Amino acid sequence: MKNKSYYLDLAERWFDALLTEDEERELKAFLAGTDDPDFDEVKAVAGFFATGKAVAAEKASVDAHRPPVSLRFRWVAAVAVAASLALVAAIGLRHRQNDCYILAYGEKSTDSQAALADMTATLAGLFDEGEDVGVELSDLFNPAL
Amino acid sequence: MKRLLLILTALLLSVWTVSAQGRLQVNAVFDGKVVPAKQMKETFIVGSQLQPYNLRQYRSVSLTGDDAVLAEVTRRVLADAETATDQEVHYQGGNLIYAILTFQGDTDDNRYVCYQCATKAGRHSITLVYMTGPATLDDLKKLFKSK
Repeated sequence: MKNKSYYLDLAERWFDALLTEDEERELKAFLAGTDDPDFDEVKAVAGFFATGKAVAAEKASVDAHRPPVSLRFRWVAAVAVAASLALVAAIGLRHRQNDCYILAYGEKSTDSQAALADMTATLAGLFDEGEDVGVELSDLFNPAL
Repeated sequence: MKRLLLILTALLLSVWTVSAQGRLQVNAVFDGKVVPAKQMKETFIVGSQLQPYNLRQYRSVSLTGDDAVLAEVTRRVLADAETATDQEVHYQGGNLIYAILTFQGDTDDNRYVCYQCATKAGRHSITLVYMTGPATLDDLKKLFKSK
C-alpha cells in the first residue's frame, strides 16, 4: 500500500505535468476513492479538466454529426431571397405599368380623363407650333411663296 | 453574402434597365432637380389608356423659369439631341424654342423627347414631354394636330 506522501508527490508532479500516463491513471484512481481534504484541491482541478474534456468531446461529436451546409443549399437560399425581392420589385413595376396622374404644384389628381385631356392639349400645342415654326421658316427662306 | 449581393445587383440592374427613361439628360428636369417638383405640373400616363394612341408611356412637365432655368433645360435637351436618331430643332433669337427628338432603340418602341418654350416678360414657360411606344412621329402628329 502506497502512502499519502506518495500520492501528494504524484499530485505535485501532476501539476508540473511530469507524470507518465500510468502514474496519472494511478493518481486519478486514488483521487476517486479518497476523502482526504489534503487532496481536495487536486480533485477540483482534475474535475475541472474532466468536465472540460467531456464538453469538448461532446461538441466534437455534435459537429461531426451535423450535416454540412452544402454549396448548393447556399446558392438555393441566395436565389430564393433574391427571387423574393425581385417579385416585390416586379409587383411594384406592374402597379406602375397602369398608372395615371397629374401632379400640379404639389396637388395630385388621379383623374385619368383629366390626364388624357392634358396630354391631348399638350401634344396638340406642341405639334401645332412645330407646324407654325415650319411655315414661318419656309416664308423666311422662300419670300416669293 | 457576396453571392447574394451579386444576384441582387444583377436583378436591380435589370429592373433599372426595364424601367429606364434612363440615360437621358432631361430626366433631371422630370425628376424635379432643375425646378422643384412642387413648382411644376407633371402629367404621367402609362398602360392601357394609351393603347388608342399606340403609346406605352407619356410623361410631361410644365414649368416656368428664369434665364438660368431655360439655359439648364436647353443644355440638357441639346445634350440628348446629340444621341437622338432624328431631331427637329428650332431657334428664335438664339434661344431654343422647339425640339422633337426621336430615339429608336433595339426594341419596337420609339422614344420621344419634345420641348417647347414660350417667353413672356423675361419668364420662360417650358413644356417637356417624354413618350414611348410603337407610334411613329407622323402617326402622333396626325393624331394630335388640331390645325
